[in-house]
Amino acid sequence: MEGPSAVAGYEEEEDVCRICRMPGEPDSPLYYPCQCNGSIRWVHQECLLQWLKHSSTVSCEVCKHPFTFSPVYAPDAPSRLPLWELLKGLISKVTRGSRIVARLNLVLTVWLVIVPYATSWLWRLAFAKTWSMQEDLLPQLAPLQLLSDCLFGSFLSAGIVFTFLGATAIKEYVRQLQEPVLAEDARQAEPEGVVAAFNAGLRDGQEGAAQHPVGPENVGGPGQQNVEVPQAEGLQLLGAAAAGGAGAGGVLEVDNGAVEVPFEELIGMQGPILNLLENAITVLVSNALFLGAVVMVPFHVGRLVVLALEGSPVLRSGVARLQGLKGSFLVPEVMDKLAQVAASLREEVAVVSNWSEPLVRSVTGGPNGSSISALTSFLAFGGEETWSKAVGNSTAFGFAAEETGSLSENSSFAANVSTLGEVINATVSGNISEASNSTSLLPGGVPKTADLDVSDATTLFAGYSVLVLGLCLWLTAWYGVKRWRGESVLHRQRGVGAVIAAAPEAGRQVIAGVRYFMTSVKVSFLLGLELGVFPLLCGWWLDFCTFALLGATWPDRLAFLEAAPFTCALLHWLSGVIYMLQLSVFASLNREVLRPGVLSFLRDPTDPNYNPFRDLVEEPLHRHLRRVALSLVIYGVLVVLLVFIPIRLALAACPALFPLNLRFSDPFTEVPADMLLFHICIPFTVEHFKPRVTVKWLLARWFEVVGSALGLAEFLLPAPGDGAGNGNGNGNGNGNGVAPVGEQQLVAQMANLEIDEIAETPNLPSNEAAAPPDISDGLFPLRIVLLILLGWLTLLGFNALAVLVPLSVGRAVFAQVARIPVASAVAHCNDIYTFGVGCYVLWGGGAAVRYLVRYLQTHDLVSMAKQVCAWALISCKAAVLLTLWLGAVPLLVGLLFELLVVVPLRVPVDESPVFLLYQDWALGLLFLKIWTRLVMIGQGPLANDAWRARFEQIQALGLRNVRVMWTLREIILPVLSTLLTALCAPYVAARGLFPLTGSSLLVSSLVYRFIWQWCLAAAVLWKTAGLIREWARDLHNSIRDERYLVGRTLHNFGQPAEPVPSAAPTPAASEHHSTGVEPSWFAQLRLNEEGAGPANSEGSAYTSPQWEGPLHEEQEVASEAVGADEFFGRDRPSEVTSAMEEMRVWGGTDGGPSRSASGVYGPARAFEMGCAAGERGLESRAQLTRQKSLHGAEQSESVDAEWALSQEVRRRAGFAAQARYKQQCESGDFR
Amino acid sequence: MAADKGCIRRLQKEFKQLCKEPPPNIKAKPSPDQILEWHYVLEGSAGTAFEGGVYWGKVIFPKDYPFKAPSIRMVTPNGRFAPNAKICMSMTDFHPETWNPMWSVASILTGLLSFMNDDVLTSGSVSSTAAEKKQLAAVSLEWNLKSPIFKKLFPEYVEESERRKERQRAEELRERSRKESGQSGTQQGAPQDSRSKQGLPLWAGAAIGCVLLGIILLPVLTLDFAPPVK
Repeated sequence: MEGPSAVAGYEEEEDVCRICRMPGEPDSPLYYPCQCNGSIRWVHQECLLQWLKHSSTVSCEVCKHPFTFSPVYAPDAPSRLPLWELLKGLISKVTRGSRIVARLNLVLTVWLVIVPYATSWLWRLAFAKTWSMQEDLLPQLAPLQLLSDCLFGSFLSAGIVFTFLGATAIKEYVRQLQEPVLAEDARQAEPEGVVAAFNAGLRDGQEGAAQHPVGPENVGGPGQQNVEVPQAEGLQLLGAAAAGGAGAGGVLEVDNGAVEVPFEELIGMQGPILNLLENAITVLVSNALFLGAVVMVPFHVGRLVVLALEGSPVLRSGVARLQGLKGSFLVPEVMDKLAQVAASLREEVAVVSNWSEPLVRSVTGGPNGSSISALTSFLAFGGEETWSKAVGNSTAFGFAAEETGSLSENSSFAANVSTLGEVINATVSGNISEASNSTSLLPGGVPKTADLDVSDATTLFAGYSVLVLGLCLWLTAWYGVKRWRGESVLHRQRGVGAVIAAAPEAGRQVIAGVRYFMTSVKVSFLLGLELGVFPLLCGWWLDFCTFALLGATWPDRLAFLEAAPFTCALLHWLSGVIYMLQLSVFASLNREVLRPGVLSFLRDPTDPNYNPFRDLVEEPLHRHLRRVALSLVIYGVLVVLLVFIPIRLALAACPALFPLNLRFSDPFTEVPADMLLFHICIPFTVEHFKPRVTVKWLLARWFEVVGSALGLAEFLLPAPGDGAGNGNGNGNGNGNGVAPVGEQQLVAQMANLEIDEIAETPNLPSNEAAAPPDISDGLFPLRIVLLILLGWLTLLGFNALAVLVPLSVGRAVFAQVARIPVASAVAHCNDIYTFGVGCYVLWGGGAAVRYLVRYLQTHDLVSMAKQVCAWALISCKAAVLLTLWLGAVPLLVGLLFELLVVVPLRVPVDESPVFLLYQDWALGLLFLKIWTRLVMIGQGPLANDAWRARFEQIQALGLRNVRVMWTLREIILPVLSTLLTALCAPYVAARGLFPLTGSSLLVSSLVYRFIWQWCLAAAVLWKTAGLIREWARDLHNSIRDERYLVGRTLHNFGQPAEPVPSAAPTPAASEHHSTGVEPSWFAQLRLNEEGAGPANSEGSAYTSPQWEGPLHEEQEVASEAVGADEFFGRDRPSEVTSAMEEMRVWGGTDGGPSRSASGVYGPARAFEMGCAAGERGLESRAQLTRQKSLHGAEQSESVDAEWALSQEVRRRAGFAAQARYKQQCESGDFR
Repeated sequence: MAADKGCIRRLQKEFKQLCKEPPPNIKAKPSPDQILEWHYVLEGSAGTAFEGGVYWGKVIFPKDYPFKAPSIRMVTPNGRFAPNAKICMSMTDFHPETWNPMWSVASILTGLLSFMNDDVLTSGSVSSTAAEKKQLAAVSLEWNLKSPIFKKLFPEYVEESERRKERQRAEELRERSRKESGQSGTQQGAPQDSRSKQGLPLWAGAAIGCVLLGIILLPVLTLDFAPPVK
C-alpha cells in the first residue's frame, strides 16, 4: 500500500493538477479524489476546494463521485460541547442571523412598503387637480389604508415593469424583422434625442436662472428656491426624454446591454446598502416618469380640453394673465413636475391655446373641421401663422429666449423618436396644465373651472384622444409641409425654419417611432381579435346551434348572460376554443392521410416557414381582417353543417332522447365525479382507445374508397412510393391561406380556393413535385364538388349517429341499473355520463367481438374455452384485488379525509355529520391516484422507495401473472391496516373509552368530533420532535465545527477516511498522510481571523469518531460491493457481466503485467487501473485500450476521451470494479 | 493586470502544451499585451461547408479562469455564428453551471469546431444556407487579412493567402483555356411563363356566397323566437 508520490518517478511525464496544471509540491501534494483517470486524475487540495467553493458542488462533475473529506479538529476538541460554549456559539449565530434578518427586513420594507406606497401616491398625484387637493392625499397612515395602498402600488409597479418588458420584447422583435436601416436609425436616434433634450434642458435651466432674479413680479417665494427649480428642470427634461424612451423600451434596452446582476444583489440583499437605495430610487423614478407620461399628462390635457369645451374665453384670459404673471407660479407648483418647464418656454402656452381653439371648434362641429384635407391645409397655412405669432410672443423675452425656445423645440422633436411624440406633448401640455392650474389658482380673477363634474376616466380619455389627434395632425402637417412647400418654405420663414431645420432627421425618426407604436397596437389588436373575440363568437354560435340538443332557448341564454356575464363569456370562449382546436386536429389528420399538396391552401402549423407572429407584424391590417372575416364565415358554416344539421337529424330520428340533461346540480355531478371524469376516465380513453389512430385509419379508408369511386384516388392519396418526407412541398403555395387559427378539410366553402390552387399549380414550377397527377379532365371540378358533398354527408351521418347511438345505449344501461333499488338516482343522471357509458359499452362489445373473431381464425373452440377459463380465473383474482384496491382503500381514504378535514370545517358541532360514501370514495380514489403517481415519480414528501419497488413489481408481472397473496400481503393489507388503525383507534378511544370517564354528552361528542385531528396533531408533533432533535444535533455540530474545526483533509479515491499510520508500510504513504492533515485555506483563514490557534496541525489531528460526517471509504466500497453482488446476483446485465469478465481477464486471472502493476503500485492503484479497464471495455474499444491498460494505464488519456464516457457506463464499471476490488481484498491477491 | 497568479500560470502552461501538441485545424495564442485575451484560428473541417475557411476569433478569459468559463466570439463572418457575438455553448460563460475546470483552451476550441459543424441554433448563432457558408468560407481568409491584428498574430496566413491566390490564378487560366477550346452551347434564356392567376368568375363567387349565407341563416330561421310557454 503506497501513496501517490511513489508513482511519480515512474512516469515520463509528470502528473499535474487538473485545475492549475502544476505538479505537486512537497507542501501541496497531488490527490486522486475520484474515479477519473488519465490526465485529469490528479488535483491539489487547495485547487479542488477553491473549485468546490466556486461551483458549490460536492462531487466530481465528470465521474460524479462525491469527494470525501474528513474534518480535522483541534486536539482539544471535546466530543460534546460544554453548555457555556454552546451558548456562546448560539449567541454568535443569533447575532449573525439577526444581521441578515435586519437586512431582510430593510429590503422587504423598501420593496414591499416604501416603493409601492410611493408609487400609489404618485398615482393619486397624477390625478390630483390642485395642490391643496394633493395635500389631502398626503400620507394617511391608517393601517388598512396603508395596506391597500401598498398592494395597489405593488400591482402598479409590476404592471409598469411588465409594460416595459413587453414593449422591449415587441420592439426587439419588430426591429429584427424590419429592414436594418430603420433599426439603425432608431438606435442612433435614441441617445441623440436624450442628449439633445439634456442640453436643451441645461440651457433652459440657465436661462431660467438668469431670468428669475430679474423677474418683475417674483413674489412666489424665496429666490433661492427659484434658482434651484430651473436647474432641476434640466434633469427633468432629460428624465422626460428617458421616460419616453422607456415607453418604447429604451431604458430597458440600456439595461439589456449591461452585465447581468444576480437577483440578491439586485434587490439589495447582498452588496453595499447604497445599491439598494439606488435601485429603489431608480424604480421609483421610472415609475414616476411612466405615470407622468402615461397618466398625468393625458389627464391634464384632458382637463384642459374639458375646460376649453366649457368656456374657452376663460382659458384665454387665464393665459393672458399668465403672461403677465410669469415667474410667479414656480414655487407653489412643485406639484406639477412636468409643468415646471423653463420659463422661456412659456410662450408655447399661447401657441397651444391658438392651436387648441380651432381644434376645439372643429371638434364641436365647426364648418371647416370635418375633413382631414381641410385640417391639413389649415395647419399648413395657419400653422405658419401660429408659429409667427409664437415668435412674436417670444420676442417679448428677447432674442435669447427665442433661441432657447427653438432649441428646446428641436430637442423635443428629436426625443420624439422614442417617445412617440409624448415628450413634446409633455412639454406643451405641461404648460397647458400649468396654465389651467394657475387659472384655478388665481385669486378670484377667474371662476374655478376645475370643479367641473367630469369623471377622471373621461378626462383621461379626452386627454388621450386629444393627444392622438394632435399627433396625427402634427404628422399630417409635417407631411404636408414637406410635400407641398418643400424646402423653400422652411427657408423663407426664419422662426419656423429654425425649428424645422432639424426636422428631416427628426421627422424620419418620428415616423420610425410611430411605426413601432402602430405595429404594437396592431399586433395587440389582432391578438385580441383572434384569441379573444373569434373564439367567443364561435362559442356563441356553437351554443346557438345546439339549443335543440340542450333544450335551451334564446331568452335563457340572455338571462344567463345578464346574471353572470363573466362566467357566460368564459364558457363560450372555452367551447369556442375547444371547437377550433378540434377542427385543427382534424385538419392535421387529413394532412397526414392525404397527398402532400392537396391541402396546401390551408396553413400548415408545422411548416417551418409559417410564423404566425411574423405575419401579425408584417402583413397589413386589412389582409388580416379579411382573413378573420373569411374564417368566421367558414367556421360558422361548418358549425351549421357539422353540428346543427346532425343534431336536427338526430332529433328527428329519436325525439324521446332529447333534450339532454346537462345540469350540473344533481349529486352525481358534484366535484369528485367531475374530477373522476377528467383525471381517470379521459386519460384512460386516450391511452387505450387511441382515438387519433383510429380516426386516421378511418379517414384513410374513406379516402381510398371514395377516391377510387370518383377517380380521384391518384389526386388525393400519396403515391405508394412517396414517403412522408416530401410533406409541405407547397405549403406556401399561394398567399390566400384562409384560416388564421384553425382549418377544416373537404368543405364546400373552400372549393373555390381549392380550384384556385389547382388552376394555379401548373404555373408554379417550384410546385412540380407535388403537382396533381392529372388535372386536365374537364370534369375535375365536378368530381371535387362530389367528393366534398360525399364527405359532408358521411360526416353528417357519422355525427348524427355519434350522438344517437351511445346516448341510447347509455340510457338503456342506466335504466337497467336504476332498477336496483340503491341506485335509483342513476336514472336521471347527467347525460355526459350516459354518453360516456354508452361509448364504453359499445367499444367493449366491439373489441370483444373483434378479438373473438381473430382468435377463432387461428384456434379451435376447445382451446378458446380453455383460454376463457384461464382468463376467468385471472379476472376473478383481479376482481378481488381491484375491489379492495379501488373500492375499499379509496373509501377509507375518503372517510379519513372527511373526518379530518371536511367535517370539522363544515358541520357545526351540534349537528351530526352525514357521510356521502360515494363522494368519499371518489375523493379517495383521486388521492390514491395522486399518491401512487407521486410514489412512482419518486419525488416529493411521499416518495418511498420500498413502495415504489412493490408497484414496479406489480407492473412488471402484469395482469396475466398476478399473484394474489403476495399483492395482498405486500400492498393491500399494509395500506388497509394503516388506514383502519387511523380510522378505528380514535373512534374506539372516543366512543368506547372516553365515555367511561363519565363526562357530559357535549364533551364526549366534542371529543368524538375532534379526536382525529388530535391524533393527527400528535403524529405531526412526534415527527417534528424527531426533526427538532436532528436539527439541534446539527446545530451543535456546526457550533463545534466553528470552534474547533481546523481543516479538512481530502481523501484519495478508495482510501479509508481515517489515516491508519501503522497500515502504511512505505514512507511515501506516511508522508502523504502527514501532509494530508495540514490546514487548508479554510483553516488558515479561520486561524488568521480568530487568532485562536490551538491547532497543532502536524500529524496529530484529532478526528472525532462520534460526530463525524462522511462514511469511511472502505466501508462504502465494501457495502457497495455486497450490494452489487446482491443486485446483480440473479440477472446481471450483460454489460456488467462482460465488464467483470474483462476485469478478471485484465486485472487478476490474466496475471502478468497487471499483477506486476499491482505489485508496483499497490492495490489502490491496481484498483484504479481496473476501473479504467472496465470502462474502456464497456466502450468497445477493447483492443486499443487493452494495450494501454496493460502497458501503461497511467499514460495520459486525452481529456475528451474522458468526456466520451457516459455516466451510466461509469457507474456500472465502478460497481464491477469495486466488486473486483472486494474480491481481491478478500483473497489477498495483491502481492 | 488583475488576473490571479494561478490563472496566468495555467494559461502559460496551456499555451506551452498547445505549442507542443497542437490540435488539428486549430491555432491559438494569447494577445501580446493581454494574456487574458486569446486569439484563435479554426480551419473549416474538410467535407463541410466550412472547408477552406479560416475563422478567426477571440477567447476572453475571466480573471479567475480555471474556475470560471471563458467567453468565445468569432470575428470572421462565417454563417454559423454571428460575428463578434458571444457564443452560447456548454463550454462558455453562457452556461457557468456546466463549466468544468478540467477543460482547456484546446478542448474548448475542439468543441467549438465540432459545434460549428453542427447546426443547432443557440444564442450567438445565425442560420444560413450551405451556399452562403461556402461563399463566406471562400472570402474568409482575405477578410481576416484586412485586420492588422490578425496579420500580426498569425503571419503564416499571409503566405497561405499568397499560395491560395497563386493556385486560383492557375486554375482560372486552365479554366479559360478550356472554355476557349469548347466555345459553343450558350444557354438560351428560359421563357418566363407568367400567366396571371385565373380568378373565379363573379357569378360563381356570388353563388357560393349565397349558399354560405343560406347555410348560416339556417339555424336562425328554424329558431323559435316565441317566448317559451310556461
